[in-house]
Amino acid sequence: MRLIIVIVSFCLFLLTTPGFAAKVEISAPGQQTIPLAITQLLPIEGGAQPEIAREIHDVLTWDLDLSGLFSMIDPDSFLSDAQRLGLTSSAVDFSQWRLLGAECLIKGGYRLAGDQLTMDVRLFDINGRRLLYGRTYRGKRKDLRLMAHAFADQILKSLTGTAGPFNSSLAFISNKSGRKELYLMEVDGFRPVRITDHRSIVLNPDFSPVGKDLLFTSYKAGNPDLYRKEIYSGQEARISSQKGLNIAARYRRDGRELALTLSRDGNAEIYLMGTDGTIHQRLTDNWGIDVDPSWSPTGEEIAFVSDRQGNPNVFIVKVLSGEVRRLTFEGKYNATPAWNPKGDRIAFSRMEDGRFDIYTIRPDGSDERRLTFGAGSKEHPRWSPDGRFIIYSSDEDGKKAIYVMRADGTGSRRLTPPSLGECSHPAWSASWL
Amino acid sequence: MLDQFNKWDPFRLEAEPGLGRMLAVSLGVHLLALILFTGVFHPHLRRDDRPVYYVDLVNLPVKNPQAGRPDAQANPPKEVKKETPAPAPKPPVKKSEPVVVAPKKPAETVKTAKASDKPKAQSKPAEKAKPAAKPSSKKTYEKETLDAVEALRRKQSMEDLKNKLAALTTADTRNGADSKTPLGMPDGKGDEAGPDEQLYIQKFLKENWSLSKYQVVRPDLEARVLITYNATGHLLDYRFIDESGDPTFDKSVKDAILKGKELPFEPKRRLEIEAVFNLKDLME
Amino acid sequence: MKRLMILALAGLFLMTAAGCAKKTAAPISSMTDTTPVVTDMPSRDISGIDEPSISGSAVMDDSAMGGSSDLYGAQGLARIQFDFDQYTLTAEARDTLAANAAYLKANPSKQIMIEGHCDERGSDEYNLALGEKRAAAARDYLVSLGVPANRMTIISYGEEIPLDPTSSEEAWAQNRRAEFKERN
Repeated sequence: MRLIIVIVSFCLFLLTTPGFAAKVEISAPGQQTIPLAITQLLPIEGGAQPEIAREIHDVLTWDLDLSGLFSMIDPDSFLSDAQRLGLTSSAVDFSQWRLLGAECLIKGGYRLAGDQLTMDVRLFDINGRRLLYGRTYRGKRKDLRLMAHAFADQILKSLTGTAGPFNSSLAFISNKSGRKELYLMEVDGFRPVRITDHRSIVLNPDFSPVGKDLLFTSYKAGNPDLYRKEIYSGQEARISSQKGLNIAARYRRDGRELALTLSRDGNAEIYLMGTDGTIHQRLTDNWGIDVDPSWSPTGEEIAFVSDRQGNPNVFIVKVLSGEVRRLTFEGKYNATPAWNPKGDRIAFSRMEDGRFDIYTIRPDGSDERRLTFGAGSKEHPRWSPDGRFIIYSSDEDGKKAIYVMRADGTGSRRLTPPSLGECSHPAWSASWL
Repeated sequence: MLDQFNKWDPFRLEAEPGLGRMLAVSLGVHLLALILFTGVFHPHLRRDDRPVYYVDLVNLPVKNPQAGRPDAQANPPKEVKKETPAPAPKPPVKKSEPVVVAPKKPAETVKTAKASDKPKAQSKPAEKAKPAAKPSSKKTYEKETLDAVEALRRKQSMEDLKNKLAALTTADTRNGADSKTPLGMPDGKGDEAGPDEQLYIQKFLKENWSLSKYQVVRPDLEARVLITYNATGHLLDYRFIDESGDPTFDKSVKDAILKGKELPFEPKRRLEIEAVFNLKDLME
Repeated sequence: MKRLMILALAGLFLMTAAGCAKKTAAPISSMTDTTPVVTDMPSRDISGIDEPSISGSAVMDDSAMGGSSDLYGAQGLARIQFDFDQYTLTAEARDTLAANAAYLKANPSKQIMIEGHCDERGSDEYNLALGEKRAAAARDYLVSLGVPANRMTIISYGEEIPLDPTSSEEAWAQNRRAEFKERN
């Protein structure tokens, strides 16, 4: 009896012994871009307007290519499903797209009724055979590009968790009219619009993070004064005309205070000022030149340029305590700091042999990385509101122009055409919608 | 005088005391053995016939390649022997595996006492047929269930890298400049055909895994998944042992596994893989 | 003892059952497509300035800078140069300033604007501050030579108005200057 039990127990033991699992480690994805197919939108009803479909396609392709996430599948290889209006996952033949190796698919339709344009767009996941994101955009025909940009923002959000910055505006200074004036344009460089007529020198714009206005410096009244202009109403007001310099004003993240450089006390120092121009506080007190403030996203610190220790370098001041520490120690001339909206990196430009290049560094001074190389001087880096991209001015093509690149230095492309003259001092607005 | 003969009648069946019981036990044990070793109730412990492997030495990592260089060989390299079918009586051959699978079970002695004589008898003619191939390949399969395989795999990938590096400088070495440099595995015999399954599966999963570095929030993300394939290479099941905590990352891992519903080769037995997905090699 | 054995057996049976239990693969969620959200684009027009209606020469002239004051290059007031990234006065500069001081003392009604300029190298904002320091250095020296401070104002143009827009050492040396403009 005992023997039987022992034998049976042993056999049962064998049955319950699990198979040992072999271990395998995959330490990097084999595919580091997502193959994406962008189809041309089809008319939902009524006649086809191929220019509409083409323009939407162009905007989406430009935006999503800049993002760096995707590798585009050649539209010439699309099969019959590209001609079908697939607005639901049941209406899409996923196997066709899987054949092309696509993992994501953009499809949709449009309807133009007079001046009203409706865009019905979808983002599909081929592997899971399901809809990832869908939205209907309605607006005027002329807002087509903004609608497409807004969709691109949402595509990035569904795939990475953070929305893109494409539905926003860029500001820059151009001397196309013979004088330096302030211009606005879309993120992809389209539709530049001039918004000042000072016929003097306009410099260094900054968007409000909450309202729809811009700060800039202008010599219109014979002195570098600080102006604010509302973008839609066009109303303009001079808010600071202190003796000497009123330059490089930057809004704090909550839009309620600004930091700028004033030299009213005989020396260029960083001041804090209200949006109405009243001086709140003087932040720096040093015989050297203190310019170029850039707020940290928390508003607790400001990065700025100072030559208090010899050559110009980037320093950081704590707003509450006034404590100053030095950020850059390499190189002999470091300027134009810009604090990333996520707070983890500060971009700046370093001059070597007479030309500038753009670097980024952690706020604690570690992990300095160079982003731009080659001929030309690259200055005035500014971040996109999601921290993914950097715009800057570069004269690598002869004249200064505005360029955009990813935060790791890849994917740079020119935004302003030569017909806009010399373009510099870019700024990126918050996302608008 | 006949009385003597009547005491013992060879034709009269007379049972020993307790014989019936012992017969029953013996029958039961034999039945059990039959059940266990034909694998009716536990196919994952079964070992099938070894058919011929397809050999792709060009594209696939080869299992246990022999150390040394072809041009440095004093003796001609050993021929790669194909697996031959197991000898006719299957049960005795299969017997040795459960013994090793549960190596620490004290009760195994009961079985080995009864089973050991059979495999010995059978394996001798088998061994005569092909000197080293069969027992060592059997051993390799069994090795895979132990921790040693992990070290082997690492060694293999190290050797692969070394091979690649050597290939870059082949121009010099091919002329016999350093013909003594060993390649392959130090204890490899070069007599095993077939792909190194683990490396192959690793390559397969990696190819199907697509994730952009612009989707990565933190470089220290890691997910562990237990993937099960059946004997024909079809995906049976996957289960996250450890999620990374980032939904984008986990979804990309899930997509990678689901994209590979069919292994490109047949493992001939149920495979359980513990796959670790991380970003250690992602260029930042 | 027997009970123990039975318990052990029961336990083993349970283990068997547990070992054979398999978690089935989660079925791929077949999400039914919901009606997408509608976004109405806000239609707002940026108040822009039409380019064709603005007349403007393609070349920037550095006269008529600023609004009200009418400035013209002053005779008798020569400009001074500076070294790169410096606002200290060179000996040459001091000599020129001495001559300028003499002129100003001789013409007590003249008011001047001292402009500070930099070459194009360096950061725009830093150069605005540097230009101001150069203008201030010139003014302070003139004051020390006896010119009343209330006859002089300073302004900085940084690198915005180069004398020579080319990129060469000579051009840069030219552009690093302080200029003296008469104001009325």
